[in-house]
Amino acid sequence: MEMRNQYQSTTSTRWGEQLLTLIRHGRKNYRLQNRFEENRLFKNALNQRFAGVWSVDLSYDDSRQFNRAITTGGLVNDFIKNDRGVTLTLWRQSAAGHALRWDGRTAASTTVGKKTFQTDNARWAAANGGARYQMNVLGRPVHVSARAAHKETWMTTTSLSGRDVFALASFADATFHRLGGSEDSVVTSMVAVMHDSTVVRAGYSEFTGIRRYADQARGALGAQKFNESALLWERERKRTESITAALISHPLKGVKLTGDLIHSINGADYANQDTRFSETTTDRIGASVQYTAPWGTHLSSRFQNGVVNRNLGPKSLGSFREQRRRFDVSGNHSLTPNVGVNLAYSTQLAQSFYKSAENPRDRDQLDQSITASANGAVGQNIDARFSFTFNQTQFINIDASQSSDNRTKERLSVGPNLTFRISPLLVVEQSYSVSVERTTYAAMARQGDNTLDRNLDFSNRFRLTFSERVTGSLEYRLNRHDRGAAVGRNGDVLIPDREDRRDQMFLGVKYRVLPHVSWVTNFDYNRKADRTIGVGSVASKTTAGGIEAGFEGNFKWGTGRTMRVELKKANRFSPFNTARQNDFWVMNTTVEYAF
Amino acid sequence: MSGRYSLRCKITAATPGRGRAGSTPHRVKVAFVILAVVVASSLGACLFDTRTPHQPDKTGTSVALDSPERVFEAVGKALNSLREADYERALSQSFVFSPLLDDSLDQNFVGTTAFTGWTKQVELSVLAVLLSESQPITVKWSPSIEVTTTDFVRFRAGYTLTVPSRVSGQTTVYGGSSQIDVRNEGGNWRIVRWEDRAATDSTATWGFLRGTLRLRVNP
Repeated sequence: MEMRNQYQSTTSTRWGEQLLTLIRHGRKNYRLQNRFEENRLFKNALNQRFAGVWSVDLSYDDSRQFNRAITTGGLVNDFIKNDRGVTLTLWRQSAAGHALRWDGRTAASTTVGKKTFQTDNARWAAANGGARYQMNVLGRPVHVSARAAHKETWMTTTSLSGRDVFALASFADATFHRLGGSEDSVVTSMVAVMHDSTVVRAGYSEFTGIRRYADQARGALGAQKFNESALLWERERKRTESITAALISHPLKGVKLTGDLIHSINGADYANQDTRFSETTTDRIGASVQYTAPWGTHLSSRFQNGVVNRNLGPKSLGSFREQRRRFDVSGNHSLTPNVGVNLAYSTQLAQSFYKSAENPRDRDQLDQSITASANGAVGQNIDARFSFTFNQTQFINIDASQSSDNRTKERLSVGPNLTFRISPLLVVEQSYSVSVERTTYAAMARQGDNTLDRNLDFSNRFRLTFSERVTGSLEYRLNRHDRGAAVGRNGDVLIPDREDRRDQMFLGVKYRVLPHVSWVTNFDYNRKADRTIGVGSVASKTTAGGIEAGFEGNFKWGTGRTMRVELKKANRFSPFNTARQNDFWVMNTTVEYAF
Repeated sequence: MSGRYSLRCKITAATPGRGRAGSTPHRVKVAFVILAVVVASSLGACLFDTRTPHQPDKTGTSVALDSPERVFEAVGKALNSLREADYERALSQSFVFSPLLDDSLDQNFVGTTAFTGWTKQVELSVLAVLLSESQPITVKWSPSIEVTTTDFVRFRAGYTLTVPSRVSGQTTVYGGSSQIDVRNEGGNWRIVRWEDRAATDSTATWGFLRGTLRLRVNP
């Protein structure tokens, strides 16, 4: 059972203050798992703006969050997060209408954050500024922009013995000073219109962040050691750098060319935990061509090539280089106003090359996909759609110690969907689908692991409109499935070891009693028959189902004011269900009221 | 063996498309696009050649995912043999992982995206680092069923994961309890959702281990 309430308001005064208030409350009771969760959030923010040569914003934020979870077995987990803070911001920007525009901003804040297990006192100061310049180069407009920012944070943390939620014995309150960090960033970009139909973009960005924090060291069992002597002082440095460039061009009418490249470095290193070093360098280039003919036919093709170098430090055996290439081509065409076809093909190769000879995980993965579909309409009353999908993935481990797992997984799915509008009172929807999934191993010794799964699906649905007030639907679904060993030269002969059949029936009736209130009855029945083939053949049948009936209401009183109500009684049967799963009420109420 | 995996480079003759009695510029454009596609396809056939693997020096068997409980066997076997195959097969394409609130608020993950958008691809990239830096890993499961339907089973599974590191030489134990949702997909039972539910009093969770590895894969 779930209940959620939320209240949100924004109030402005004539003196320019703006008060934002948010109250949220939620409860979840998992009655089948003996579990309970409660979330409460209260948030207030007050903003005051003073206009002058420099504009000044002063804001006060107060946020209180409480989460309680009572898990199976009665363990209570409380989580509290209360934050209060004052932020002062001074900012100024140039007047509009000039080729050179700039802005500058400086801010300082002090916050107190209380969590279940610690209190953080933080102060930070930051400054950022940027400029944007528009100019003409050889008669063509060029936009150049740059921004830079710096932030310093000073923090003191008091760890509370209340952290001891798992009765981990004594750990007295302790206060840790000299925490915090700094962040620097630079972002630049350039946009040049080279020709009426050609635009070039380029950018460079850099970020460096340093964070000093205190953590409890972890023992061989992975848990933190709760005493001050086991305190781990850590200095984390993160670095991000990226260079990007892109080109968009329309050289001919209906033809669009794009190209893009990126070079980026993401890294993190730690002063104490030297096994956590990581640096990833990515170089990627892509290009695409698209053409839209005057008669609507659309063709597109894209190629992408990228290399990722992942360095996990000298102690790791996991450093590797990954080469990834991808090619996509697609097209769609309307044969008549009512008949269209779509085709798409994609292939991707990912190859990993590990740097340590001791690591045998060098691997190729080749993914290919073909999809085709056609849709058409015969007059006003018949719609048809036919779809075909084929996916293939080859997993190729290079090293002899891993290559016996080399395999190819293929999935083929094909089938039509039909809609017949027989009369305004009756619409019939039918779908048919055949799908085959096959896994074949490359090694002769693993041929016994080759498997084949076959599924045949059929569904038929009648949608009935008896009158303006009474509607109904009747649906039947059938799934026949078998699986077993795939044998034969191409692995296309099935020796089944299991087969099953699933029949499902759904019946629904909706009667609109009042303009906004309906009586709804839904009935479903499921039957599953399994058979294991071979020595010790076993057959089993299970049936399940249920009926659900009750009222649904939808009320509306204008923009943003709605109420939805659902009250239904459900009775179900299944060999897997407990008594509480067989007999229950469904109650949902949602009220939204915008002032 | 190589022929099985190699795509041969083929240059296919370009056939200009026929427009609807279109003007010459349209034919030129169509021919231009088709030529670009054909050239890219031809180059692609070379660029997408795979490498030739070595002959396997050991064999094994895969875990048949023909009942919901078999996913635990598949995960355990993959970790113990340091081979991803069974682990990959046991995960649905729509796999997601969700950590404990305590883990997501841990000092190590504050201000990071360590647990954001945890898909099958993320899980496998993290697994590759774990297997690269570990000796055979053992996991002990104690699953119990919470919800069962014909196509879906929800387990509450306690676990103890023992990871001997090849890097530090130390053995670390992780433990906790997870909600693991398993769904029948075309006849195979696969994990669609893995949600950490509780920690133990003396160990970090498997989710914590995942988070630290994710930061190294995606710093």
